[in-house]
Amino acid sequence: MRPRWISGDTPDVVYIDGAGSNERQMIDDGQLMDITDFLKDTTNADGKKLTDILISQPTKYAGDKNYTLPLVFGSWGLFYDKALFKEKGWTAPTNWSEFVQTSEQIKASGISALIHTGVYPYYINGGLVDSAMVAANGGDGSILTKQASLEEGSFSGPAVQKALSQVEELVKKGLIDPGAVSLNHTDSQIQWLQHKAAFIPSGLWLENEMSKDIPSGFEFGFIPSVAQDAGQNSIVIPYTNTIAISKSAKNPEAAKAFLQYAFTEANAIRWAELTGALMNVKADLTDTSASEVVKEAMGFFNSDKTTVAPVAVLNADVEKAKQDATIALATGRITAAQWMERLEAAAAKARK
Amino acid sequence: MKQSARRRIFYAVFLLPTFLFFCVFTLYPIFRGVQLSFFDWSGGTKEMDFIGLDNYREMLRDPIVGTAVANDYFLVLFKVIGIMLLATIFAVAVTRLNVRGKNLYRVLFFIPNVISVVVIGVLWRYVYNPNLGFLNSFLSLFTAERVQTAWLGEPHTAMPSLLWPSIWAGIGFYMILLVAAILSIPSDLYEAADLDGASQWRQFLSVTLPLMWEQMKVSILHIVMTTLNGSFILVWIMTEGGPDNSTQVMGSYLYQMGFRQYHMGYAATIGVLILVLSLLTTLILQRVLKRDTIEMA
Repeated sequence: MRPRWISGDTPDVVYIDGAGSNERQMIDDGQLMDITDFLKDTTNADGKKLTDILISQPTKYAGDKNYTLPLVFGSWGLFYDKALFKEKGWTAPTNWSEFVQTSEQIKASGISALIHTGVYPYYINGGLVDSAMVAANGGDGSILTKQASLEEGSFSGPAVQKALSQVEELVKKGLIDPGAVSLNHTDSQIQWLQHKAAFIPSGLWLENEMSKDIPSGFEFGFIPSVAQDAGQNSIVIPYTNTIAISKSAKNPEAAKAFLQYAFTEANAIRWAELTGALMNVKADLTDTSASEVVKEAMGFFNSDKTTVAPVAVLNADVEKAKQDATIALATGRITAAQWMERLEAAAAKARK
Repeated sequence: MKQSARRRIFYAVFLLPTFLFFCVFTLYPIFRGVQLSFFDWSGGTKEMDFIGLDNYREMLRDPIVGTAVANDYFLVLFKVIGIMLLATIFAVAVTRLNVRGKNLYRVLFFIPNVISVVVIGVLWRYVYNPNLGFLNSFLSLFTAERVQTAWLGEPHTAMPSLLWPSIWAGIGFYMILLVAAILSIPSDLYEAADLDGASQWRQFLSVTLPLMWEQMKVSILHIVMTTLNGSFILVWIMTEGGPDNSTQVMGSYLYQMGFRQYHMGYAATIGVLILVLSLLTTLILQRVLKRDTIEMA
């Protein structure tokens, strides 16, 4: 695909997903059409207003411009085996102190509390750190948007400090699997499936991805966030894969018509049944053949005890700096202060 | 047609196509790479901004480049020592010493060369796996508590852990090269040495080593070049340069910058650095390794 974008011979509609694709970069490169006005009052094929039926609203760039429309919706979070928890008498945590308490019980029983994908630290960022920052910010997700727009100080406020100190607490209490730092996603997920660890941060695609290796009797459990104080709302850190129209599309009208056709409830149900993932359209999945963990997650998204954070896409350099800093923090090699220093420096550099 | 003209046509038929391919697939990419290093380009657009030497200035300030160069030369140094030492020992063993099952060993040692580097990387990832891996399970036999070292995850063990698979995978090929060199040494030299009462060790130092020096030199240069240009693959499969950039080599950092962080111009600058360092290292080594040619009359 890349040569076609470089030479200007682009497709009309692009689905942005997979290695090497980054919507912020495509917007910076001036490749995507500004669809702000189109989204404002367009309706789908059923005559419903498009933005009304979306679970996650389109990400705003440069203030209030839209270039992309989230097509696939999912959530980061922590996963655990319900059957194992039942057998051992552990309870699924709903806030930070419960999480630490349960984790210490788990550790005392001889297995690791938390394993994660150290080679790709965005797993622990998505499943633990980001929701911790939003929770520490009183459930206000704008902190992530501010970070994505590289605002000065957005990586070093008290909310960030609190979230990072929670990671430090896990390190200090030895609750993170010592081997996790060198594991890629399949390695860490396999070990979690084999009960070498109780919790793993990942996304809703997990069950599908590992479907061949799930031991019998394993029951997927999903918790969107654990960092909140007792009584606070759970935080959902969503991930989306977006669809967009090329700036140099030859048939922009047909492209828009395709979006109107795609974003319907009927298509969302069909999507969930075929892929096991969620389309970014509010649809009733109860009677469908979508997987249990997806239905459980849908329950969280619809609950008023849950806050869905906005989708924020970091600049690629800052994203890398964040991953490096997080893995260094999660192995106890740097402090929270150093994490913040690194990120502020990376953001300052990217602002230029 | 005159004899000389026919000869010229004959040369041209063989040389021109090769030269053309060389230009298109080697010279042109090198030229483009150097050219790109003067631009700010994300790698995904039509437009590029000319920024002169800014990428080079940036590179001098970038601490990760320093780590990457140091890691590359760590691999170069210890791969040369490790591979040459072991390859020489094995080559001598299967030719000069009376080892049983010589041919079997030749085949065994060569096997890693027929396996793709990707497979080697994945295999060794399993060996080093902290919870399920062979290495920790083996070490745990001797300790009271389970060994849980994350070999690829700790800065001081990660690079040495990347070294072993590269040595393991390299030995076979160079061993075969040296075996060929040893077999081409006339056996009467060894007979004469025997008659003079020279020990095996003396024979190795005075006969074998000088006469296979050319092949050893070629092997060393080849290891150096392939390491500087190709250490990327193993690193990318086993650690992706992590944790926290501690196992980054120049090739992996180039890939990271070009295709993950969208700085294709900067990646090209790192490419130029690899080119310059490879050239310099090979030139210096050729000087250092130069010995008088020994004529076998």
